Amino acid sequence: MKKVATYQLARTLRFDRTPLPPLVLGLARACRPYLGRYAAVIVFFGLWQLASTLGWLNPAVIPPLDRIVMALINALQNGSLAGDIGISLQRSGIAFGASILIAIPLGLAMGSFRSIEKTLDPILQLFRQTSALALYPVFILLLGLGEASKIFVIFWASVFPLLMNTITGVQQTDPRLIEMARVFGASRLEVFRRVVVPSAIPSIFVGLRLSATSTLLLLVAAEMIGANQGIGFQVMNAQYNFQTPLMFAAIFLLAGLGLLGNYLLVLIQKRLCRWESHETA
Amino acid sequence: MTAMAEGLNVSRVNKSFALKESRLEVLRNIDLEIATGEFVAIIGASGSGKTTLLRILAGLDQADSGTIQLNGASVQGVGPERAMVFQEPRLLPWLSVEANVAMGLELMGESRTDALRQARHYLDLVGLTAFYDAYPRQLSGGMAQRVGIARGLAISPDILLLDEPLGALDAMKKIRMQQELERLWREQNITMVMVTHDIEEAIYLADRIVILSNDQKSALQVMRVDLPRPRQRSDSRFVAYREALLDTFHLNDTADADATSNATETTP
Ligand SMILES: Nc1ncnc2c1ncn2[C@@H]1O[C@H](COP(=O)(O)OP(=O)(O)O)[C@@H](O)[C@H]1O
Ligand SMILES: [Mg+2]
Repeated sequence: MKKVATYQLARTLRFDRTPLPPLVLGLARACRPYLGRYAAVIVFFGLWQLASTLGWLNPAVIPPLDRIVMALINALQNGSLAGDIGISLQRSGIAFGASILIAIPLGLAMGSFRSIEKTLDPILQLFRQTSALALYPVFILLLGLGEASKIFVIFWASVFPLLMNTITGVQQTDPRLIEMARVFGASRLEVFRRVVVPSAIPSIFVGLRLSATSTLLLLVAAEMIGANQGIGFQVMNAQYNFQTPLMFAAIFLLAGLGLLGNYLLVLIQKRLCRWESHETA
Repeated sequence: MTAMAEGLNVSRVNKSFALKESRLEVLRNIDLEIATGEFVAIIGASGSGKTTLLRILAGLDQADSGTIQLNGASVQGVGPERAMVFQEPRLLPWLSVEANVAMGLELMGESRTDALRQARHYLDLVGLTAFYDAYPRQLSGGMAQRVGIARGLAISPDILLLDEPLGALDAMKKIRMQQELERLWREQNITMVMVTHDIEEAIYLADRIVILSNDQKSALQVMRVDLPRPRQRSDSRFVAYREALLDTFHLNDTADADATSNATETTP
């Protein structure tokens, strides 16, 4: 029944009576689950386009999507955004990379050794609760207005979620599994390698994704406050110059960057934690 | 106590735990000799110290005093000659079934390929040939427990210690696993010490049944089960052992160490 209805709807939409080629039907069927999932997004963008072209919204403030997309394509083609994309990727990449290099080993150590955790926890809680943005002026005074302060403020915001989640992951290791490994002769190091680290990985990935979100947030903030290059800067710059399509193009670029980062992390996690996604008996 | 050269010799083992303001005496002057290749079941009410005794044998806990010797050598801490099957399977969820079984062998220094080859052999033994690559969460409770048993057997220990390994299984699976355990014990020629709260399970499997009581003043009671194998639960002598064991529990206060021999004599 449902299939027939879909078919008829598809035919009606084509406004003719010729049978649909199987390719179209197959495509429609393949898209259906996504259609459901992204229906809200599609409707949102559809309304946007409609509202802007029909003048319900002021197109000078909210331009129609096709103009934004054109602005984006133009900017990408003539390379006027290339430098900004490059520098933004560099800033966020270095900061996020530094967070990984510092937070994961430190978190593993703090989670494993009560003494290290007890020593460092109060100061880390203090740091963590202090907004990175509030500290940005301090970082600028310390490191200058250049790259260092920007990277550092991004790092500051992204390191804590990863650190905290790594610690939690280690501490949540099932003590019964540790005991089991011990009975089979595992040394402390072997227990760490074979039990503690693998069992902390899901939590570490939660941290990585939170950390990636913070990275992007602070990237934009830092670039808006005191930069003359970067995607975040271009958002502000385009706005000053009344180039709203370009402004939105830069915003979309940032959103895309966030989605891509998250997607990549989910992909890596799925590969690493294949055991999690398996069906139960 | 005279030290036996062969087998496991537990002598005057005491164990208590510190509570908030007092000490809880759990094991008091435990003497127990287990011959090589013997199947010993430990039964007792919950809280009577069965797990504690097994953990001490495994080397996971330390006795306050007393000695444990295996084939004449003093036992300190964990060791590859003693393997443990826990009440919950305790499998590493991120490792495949075969990798779980292989882990003990790898920790003993075997190469990964050798360890995996032997792991598969033991998985065959417990009837899990089709599940080498499965992940623990894909297994049923009974299957997971078999993996735990395979993992214990794989390191070729002298003694396999089992803590209520079938406690979580339903009645049908339990009986099948009891048969399998007996077969493995026979084929592998291994000493098994198994904690259970199931009296029939103890009679079905054990050469001797050790009864731990909550009452610290009475000594350990031991009952020998003289029945040909495989044992039949409906056998009148099986039933008589069951009655005798039940009596032992009901008559805990008046029974002394000799109740064991009395019990066997009560056979109708
Ligand atoms: N680590 C521990 N600390 C304090 N008390 C314990 C500990 N382990 C066991 N006990 C206590 O010792 C008693 C015996 O425990 P256990 O050996 O687990 O009994 P069983 O396995 O026979 O049910 C129980 O009362 C238990 O609460
Ligand atoms: Mg117990």
